[in-house]
Amino acid sequence: VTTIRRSDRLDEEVHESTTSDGLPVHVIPRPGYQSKFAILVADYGSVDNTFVPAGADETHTAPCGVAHFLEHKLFEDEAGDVFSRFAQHGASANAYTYYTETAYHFSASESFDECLKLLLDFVTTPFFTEKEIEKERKVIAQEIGMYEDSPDQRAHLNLMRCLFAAHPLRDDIAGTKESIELIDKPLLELCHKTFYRPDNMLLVVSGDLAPSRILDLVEAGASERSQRYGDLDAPLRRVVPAELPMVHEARADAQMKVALPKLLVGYKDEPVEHGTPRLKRARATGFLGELLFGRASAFFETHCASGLIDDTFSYSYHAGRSGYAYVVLGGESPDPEGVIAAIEANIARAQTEGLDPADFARLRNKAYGRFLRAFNSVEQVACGEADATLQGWDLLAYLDLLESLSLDEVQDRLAVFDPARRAVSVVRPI
Amino acid sequence: LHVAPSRKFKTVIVKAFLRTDLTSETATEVATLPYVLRHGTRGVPSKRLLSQALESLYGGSLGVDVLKLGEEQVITFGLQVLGDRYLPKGTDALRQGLKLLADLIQDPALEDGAEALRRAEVDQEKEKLRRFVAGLINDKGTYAAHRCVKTLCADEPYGVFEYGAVEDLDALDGAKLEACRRRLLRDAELDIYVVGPVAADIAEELIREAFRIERDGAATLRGTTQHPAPTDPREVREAMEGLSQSKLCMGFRSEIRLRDDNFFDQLLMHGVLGGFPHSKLFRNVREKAGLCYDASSSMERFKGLLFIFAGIDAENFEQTRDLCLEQVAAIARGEVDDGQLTNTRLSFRRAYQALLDFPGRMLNLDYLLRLGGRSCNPVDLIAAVDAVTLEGIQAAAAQLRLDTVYFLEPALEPLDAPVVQAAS
Repeated sequence: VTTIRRSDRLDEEVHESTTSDGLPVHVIPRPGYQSKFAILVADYGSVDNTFVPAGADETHTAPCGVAHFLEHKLFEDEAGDVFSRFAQHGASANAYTYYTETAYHFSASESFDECLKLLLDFVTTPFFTEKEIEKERKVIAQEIGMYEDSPDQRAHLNLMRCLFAAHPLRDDIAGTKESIELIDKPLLELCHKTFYRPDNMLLVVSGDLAPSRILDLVEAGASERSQRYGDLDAPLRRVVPAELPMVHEARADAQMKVALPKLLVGYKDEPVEHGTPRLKRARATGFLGELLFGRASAFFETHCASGLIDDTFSYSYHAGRSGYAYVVLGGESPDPEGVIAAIEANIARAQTEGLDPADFARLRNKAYGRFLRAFNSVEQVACGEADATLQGWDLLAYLDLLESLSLDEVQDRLAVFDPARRAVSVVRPI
Repeated sequence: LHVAPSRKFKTVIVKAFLRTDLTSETATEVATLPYVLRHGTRGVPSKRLLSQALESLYGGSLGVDVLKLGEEQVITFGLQVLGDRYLPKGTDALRQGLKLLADLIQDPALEDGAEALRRAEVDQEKEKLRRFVAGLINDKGTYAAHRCVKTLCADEPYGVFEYGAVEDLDALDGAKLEACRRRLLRDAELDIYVVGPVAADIAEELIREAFRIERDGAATLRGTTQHPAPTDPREVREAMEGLSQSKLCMGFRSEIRLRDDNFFDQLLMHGVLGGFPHSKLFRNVREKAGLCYDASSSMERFKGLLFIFAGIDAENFEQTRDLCLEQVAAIARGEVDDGQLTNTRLSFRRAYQALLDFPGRMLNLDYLLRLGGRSCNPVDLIAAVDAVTLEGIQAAAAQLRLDTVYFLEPALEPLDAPVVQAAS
C-alpha cells in the first residue's frame, strides 16, 4: 500500500510504503534533476550503547564508539571495498554516525538501480574479519586524533560532560583510542543484529524517478534481505541511564594551541515528548535564541562592535531521542567571562522587557524562506525527510507548524535560561 | 553578465565577482574591503539593519568572500532570495535584494563629508582579520596546508595569502579602502551571474536597473606565472605543542594548467591519485596500510600545483611520505588498474552531469572555467574526460616535480616560547 503526502505550497510530494521485509521506503520525485540520491538510515547512534540483546534478559553496555566503528566496517564486504563498487557506477557514497542515527547514502546520475541494490545489500550484510577490524582500528584512532586536535570538539565534549552526569552524550561519537580497543567481531555482529533490523531503518530516495518503480525495486530484494535479519519478533529494547535535571558540573576549562579563547555556554533542558511536541519546542527555542542573540539582534551588533564577540558567535538548540535537550551558545572571544555576563544581562533584559512582535514576524518569514531553500537540493530534501521521519514529524507540514507558533510560546521558553542549569566550557590558549 | 534561468530551483542566486592581481602591496586592503562593505549601504547603513531587511525578504542572504585563483585575488558578493512563485504577490524580493547587493559595492555608507569608509566598521574588520589570521592554527589541517603554500611559493605572488598580512593592517584606513573600492570598480574584471527561477530578459533588466557601474574597456591583469621546482625538494618540519595528530602536506609543481590542452589528463591523474575514496591514496595509505583517516590530493588549476595531504602519527612520517610518493610514481609507470581509471572517469562524469542540479556550484565552476578559456557545458566536459588516455595520465604524473614537504608534528616537550608563530 502506497500513501502519498503532498504539499501544494511547497509543490512537493512524498510516496510512502513498507516492503514485505518491513523496511519503510519514502520516495520524493524531483522532476528535472539529473542526480538521484538515496539514504538508508538506522535509528541507532552513539547514545544507544546500553541495550538488551534479543533472547537475553540482562542489559549489555558496549564500549563507546561502537556505532561509529560499525559504520566504518560495513563499508567492507566479502567482495572488498564498497566505495569502489559505487565508483564503478559513477556514484559517490558516504556515511555518518550521529548521536541517534547512522546513515549511509549515495548520489548517482546513471546506474541508480544497481547502486540502490548495493546500498541495501552492504548495509544489511555484515562481513567482519579480525584482520580488517584491526586495520580499521588504526584508521579510527587517526580520526579520533584529528578530533582531539580540534578546539571546537574539545569545547563541545567538555560542555556535554558538564551538562550530563550519566547520559552517553558525555562520550564522543567516535569513542576514545582506549574504548575502540575493546571492540571486536562478536560485538560488532551483536550490535548489527540488534539495531540494523528493517523496522529500525528507513530508506529515502529522491530524484527524477517513478516512485512505483523504486518501491518495486526495493521489494524485489525483500525476501533475500529477510534471510539476514535476526529475531524480529522480540522488541528492540534500549536503555538510557537516568539523568537528573541539574547539571553535573558548572564549568570545565581546558588549554590548547588556539589563538583566542573559545567559550560555550550550555543550558540543560527537560526531555520532551518525541514527535511534533519536540519539533515545536525546538522551533520555539530556536526563535527565542535568534531574537536574543541572532544576527539582527541588538546583542550581536553591540558586542561585535566592541570586539567582545565576532562572527563565530552562534546559538543552537538540540533535542532528540534518548531524552537529551540543551541550548548551546558561544564562540571565540578575548574575554569569555565578559561574554557570559553579557549573555546573562541580555536574558535578564528579555525577561523584564519581553520580546518584540515585529522582530518575531520577520524571523518567521526568514524561517519560511530558509526551509524552502533546502528544497533546491535532492540531497537536502531526502536528508530532511529522513530526519523528520525518525524524529516523528511530517516534513511537508513544517510550514503549518511554523505559522502556528505564537510569540507567547516563544516567550515561555525563556524559562530554559535557568542559571542553576547552566554549564560553561572554555578552551584557552596554552 | 551571465544568466542561467531554471524553474526547478526555489531560489534565485546572484553573484558578482571582482578580480584583480594578487600582490603583497594590495592583498590586505582588497581582502578587507568586502567585509567592511558588508556593514551597510548609504540607504541601509548597518549590519543589523541589513539583517532585518534580509529577514523581511523571507530569509534572503547576502554573503561576501575572498578567493585566490592562481595569482589573482577575487572578491565576491552574493545574494540568494526565494523565487516569485513561493512569495506573496508583490513581494519583489529579487529587485529589493539586488538593490542591497549592488549598493554594497557601488553606494557604501561613508564617513560624513569624506571619501572614506566608516572608521568604526573599518576598525572592527581589521580586528577580525587579525583574529582570523591568528586563528589559522586552530584547524591544524588548514594551518599545515597554509604553511606548505607559504614555503612552496615564498617568493612568488602565489605565496601571498589571499586574506593579506597582519602587519599591513595598521596602515589601513577608511580612505585607503574607499580608494581601493573605486580602483577596483574601475580596473578589476567584473562578472555577474544570475541562476534560478527568473526569465533571462527580466534578470537582465533588473541587473541593469540595480547596478550603475560605468566602466571603460576591459581590465588588464598581469596573469599567473609558473616557476620551476628546486633540484632537491625542500623539507620543512614544524613542532606544535599539544598536538595529537601530525599533518603531512606535500606540494608539487606541474606544467599543466587549466588553459593547456592536456589539462584533463592532469585532472584524471589527480582523480586516480587522491580525488576520491577509490583513489590510490585512500586505498593504499588509508585502507591497506591503515596509516591515516584522511589521505587525498588537491589540484590548483591556474598556476599548476598539486598537493597531497595526510593526517598521521609522527612516527610514520617517512613511511607515509614514501608511500604517497610511490603512488605518484606508480601512476607514471602506468600502474593504474582499469577499475581505478574507469571509476575516476565515471566520478567526473557524474559530477558534471549533476552540475545543473547545484546552482551555486555551477556558477562557481563556470566562472573558473571561463578564466581558463573553457566553457562549462556538461556535454563538452564529459567528452573531454572520456577522451583522456592512460598514456596522458602517465605523462601528467611523470612531469610532476616534488617541491616542498611540510610536516607539522607534536613538540617533544612543552617549550617556554611558542614554536610556531602565527603565520601572516
